[in-house]
Amino acid sequence: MIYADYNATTPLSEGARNWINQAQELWGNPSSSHKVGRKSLELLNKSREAVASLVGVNPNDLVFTSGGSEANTMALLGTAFEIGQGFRLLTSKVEHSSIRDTLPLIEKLGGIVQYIPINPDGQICLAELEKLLGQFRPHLVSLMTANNETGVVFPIPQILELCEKHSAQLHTDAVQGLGKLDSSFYRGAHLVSISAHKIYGPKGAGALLTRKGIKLVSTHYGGSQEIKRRGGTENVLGIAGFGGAAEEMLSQSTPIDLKAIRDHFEKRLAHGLDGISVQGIKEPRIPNTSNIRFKEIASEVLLGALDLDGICISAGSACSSGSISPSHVLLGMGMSEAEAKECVRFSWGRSSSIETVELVAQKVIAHVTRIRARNGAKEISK
Amino acid sequence: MNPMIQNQLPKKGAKVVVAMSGGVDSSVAAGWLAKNGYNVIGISLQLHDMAEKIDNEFGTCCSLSDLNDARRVAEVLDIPFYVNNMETAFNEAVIDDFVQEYLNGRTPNPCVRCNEKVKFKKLMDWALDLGADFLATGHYATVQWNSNLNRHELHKGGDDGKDQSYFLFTMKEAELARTLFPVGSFEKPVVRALAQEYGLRVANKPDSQEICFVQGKSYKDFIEERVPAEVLRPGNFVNADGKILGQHAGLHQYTVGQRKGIQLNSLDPLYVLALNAKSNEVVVGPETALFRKSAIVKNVSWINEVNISSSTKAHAKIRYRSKESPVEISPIDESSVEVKFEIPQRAITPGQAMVFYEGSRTLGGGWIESLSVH
Repeated sequence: MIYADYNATTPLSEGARNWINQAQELWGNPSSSHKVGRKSLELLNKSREAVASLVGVNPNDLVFTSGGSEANTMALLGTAFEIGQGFRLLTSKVEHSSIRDTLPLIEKLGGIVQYIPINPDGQICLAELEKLLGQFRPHLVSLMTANNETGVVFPIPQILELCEKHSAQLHTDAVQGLGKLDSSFYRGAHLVSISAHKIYGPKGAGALLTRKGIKLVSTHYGGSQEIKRRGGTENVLGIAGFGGAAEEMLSQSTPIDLKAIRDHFEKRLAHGLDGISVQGIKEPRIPNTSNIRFKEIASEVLLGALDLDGICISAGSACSSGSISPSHVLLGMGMSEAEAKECVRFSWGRSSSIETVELVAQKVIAHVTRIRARNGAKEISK
Repeated sequence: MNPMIQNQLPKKGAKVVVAMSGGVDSSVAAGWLAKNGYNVIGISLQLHDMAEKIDNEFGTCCSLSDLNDARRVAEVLDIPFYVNNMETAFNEAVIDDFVQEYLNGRTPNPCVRCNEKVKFKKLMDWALDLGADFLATGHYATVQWNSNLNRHELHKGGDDGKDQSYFLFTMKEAELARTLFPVGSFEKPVVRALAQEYGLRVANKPDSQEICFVQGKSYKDFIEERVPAEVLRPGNFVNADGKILGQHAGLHQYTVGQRKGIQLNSLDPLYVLALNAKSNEVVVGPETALFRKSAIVKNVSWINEVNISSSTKAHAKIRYRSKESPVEISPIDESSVEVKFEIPQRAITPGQAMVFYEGSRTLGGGWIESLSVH
């Protein structure tokens, strides 16, 4: 099997497993003042330190959540409740669905949402942002660090500078940036969402980094955990896994060169096929992601054919039935539904190598060529 | 037991995509293939937005719980399983046509349309693109290889009461050559027993009774949700001579042969004889007037033959649940025929499919256009 869907999730690393194993023995409630509880709390704090040091922030600025989606929702709703009626939010149409699906609630609470335009390469325009910051005067700007589907990276340092100039807070969903980009690129934002299972940790653990002094109304109640910012007994197993994954990532001496692997893959496809295009190829991207449109090939077919060959990739977003809907990210970049339905995503990670991408490229070329031949595809323009 | 005894059984290891509805028939179709050495891939079609129907436990075809049933069956059989969204194609080819036919004063058959335009067209394409050798469904019909004539034929299913060849008359030889009906020659109790044997939880699931997309409501409500009220306007009940007898509530509420919903003063019970979309009239009369001996059938398609050039004797069914009856089919033009019955038929209904048989072989069929003047 070849796994090429690392943006969806990653397997558990050794480090994560080791820390989860420790947590299995430490079953105490971290809030208990007795020894059993204190042992649990110790592991929790160790995990907090490990994750904080991976990102390069103060451990106290980190609120553990159930994952990236909760962190995103917390950032948006927490700020909306803090500001109250008239809350103004500036975001984009290519954000993760946990942002997108929170927006109707923000509006219901009396907030106003505006979108910054996205160009066909999946990028924003800084001049446009500055204009909107001046005109709309948002309280909060939420723009992701790296797009989960295209890998396109927004210029967070410049965005942050503009936000600060206009007294707006910046939230960035850095779930896909964590472990793939130098954290100094995004950690300066006022609010940052991260997740464990994209860095070889377990599902069900994530965090919201809140810069000192940032005010958020809590959206979870149940106790004084996480300094009252997120009530409820902590998911010690998951958080320990997050800590172990972070520690391992931090101590990795020579991470594999994903960019070389990704670029080889894209070059091989461009060489072997006509009628393909790589989304956001002109923009800075995280090094592991290729979103590729194969003209005349339904993404569901290519995904199925590769799955039957033991190659795991993804396309669009799964709806409640499990069928694939065209990606809102690609639609947000101005693609038509028909075009978006011809796009698939390859995302590489620790098990990838030049050899694996070579094999995947061969299979993709063979399937695309076969399917186009079967359908007597007309002239396919480059 | 070999369900495809009369077929040329495909080679073991052949790649087969099975259309899985979550019902017992398609589940056993997948199971039989998986247990008999085929390389099986399960697929369910999402044909309309299902999220609203999640609480409809053990509902009929196409609801989300059916999809979960199909997924569970695939898990138990340990086969890959995908859900394919064909909502757009289904809307255009099946639902729009269904509504339009009612507005035209006709009584549609959406299941035939779905087989023709979605399952054996879009899904077949998908399966072949995927690299599959065959598409299998849970229909009660058989594909038989006629070695004398070197051709694939569509024959009736093994369970007389369940035969579904009627719904498949639009198929062509080339499609049949790529189609498997693994449960087609079984009787229903055998299928249920196999489901038990394979450990499938759908073994005792009730058969679907309704058209999948109107489940839980009436056709009338379904159409009224989609068509503006001014289009569904009241009109006149008339008798065969055109005399106005009263007011009806909208053409879409009636079908030929119907007795319910006609509130007119009459000594003898009145039945719908015809629907006239142009004049928005419902023609009513005594039951005896429902019995007719001929009809014009359009958009005729033949499975093996290219066309018929002269009058042909065969048997015909005027709707799924009607008994087949001897006919003489006379060509009118390339795609239309006139069909004369030996025995008068009750309520020949425009919009329904008429399907022709020669023994167990399905010859083809077409869409009932009108009753002919004979």
